[in-house]
Amino acid sequence: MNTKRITEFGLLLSVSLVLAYFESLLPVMITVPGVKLGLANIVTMLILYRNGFKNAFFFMSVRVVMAGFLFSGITGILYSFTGGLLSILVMSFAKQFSFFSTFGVSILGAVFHNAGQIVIALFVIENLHILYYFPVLCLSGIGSGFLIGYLSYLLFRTYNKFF
Amino acid sequence: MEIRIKKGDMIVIILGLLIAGIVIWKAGRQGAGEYAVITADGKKEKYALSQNKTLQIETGNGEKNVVVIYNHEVYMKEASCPDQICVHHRPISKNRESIICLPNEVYIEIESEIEKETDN
Repeated sequence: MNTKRITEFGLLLSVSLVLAYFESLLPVMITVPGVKLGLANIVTMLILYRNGFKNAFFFMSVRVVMAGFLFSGITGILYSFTGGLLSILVMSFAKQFSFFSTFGVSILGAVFHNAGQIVIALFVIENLHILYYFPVLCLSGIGSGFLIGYLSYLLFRTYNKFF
Repeated sequence: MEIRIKKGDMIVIILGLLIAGIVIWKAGRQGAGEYAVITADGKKEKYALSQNKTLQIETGNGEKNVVVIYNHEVYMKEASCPDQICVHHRPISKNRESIICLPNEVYIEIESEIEKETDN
């Protein structure tokens, strides 16, 4: 990792932390655990498309740990990390196929992010009925994934003009 | 990167909506439940919805939740968790509905004796 890359990642990291903070200020509209916009994923998408899976994974890990200590606590880290890992794996896989645009990739990422969190919740609560949350999280994943897909396209386009 | 909704995107959206729609539709057809089953610290306890009650739950790691059963509905009145999602959750009363407090690992679920056979 060269100096330019380190600086760039540091900048993007702070941007994604600010986005996470901004999101935590928004009033919770639907009160189901796990439902959120995931604004910070705009940055993860950017890095995934620009620098590939390895860098995106590294970035996500650092972000999750930092955001966890700042906003949500240790248990939050466990949930976010599993969700983030699954989401990046699925996104980098889906991105290889030409019949998916940023929308599809981002929606799949959001839905699998939620799926990962439900898996952790299953281990914590040990009650299979938690799976009933999945359809709601599936819907919210489609909505937020669509929005994030569009926003990350805008960011990608602008970002490439400068870097 | 380009901005165009492609075939794969549509398939993902439609499939997701379909799955979610079916499950939510089925859940909406559930009748009223009779019991609230509260899981905390890995222990399950059952309370009848017909009796109004305020339950103080203290988990082993020092967290606190206050569950209220009122007028055949259950809601989380207070919780020591940071996100307060469970407190904002609307009251539940139908079979299979649930409120979950992930940080404190407290889980409330509505059960029904009558509807048990028709579950699947």
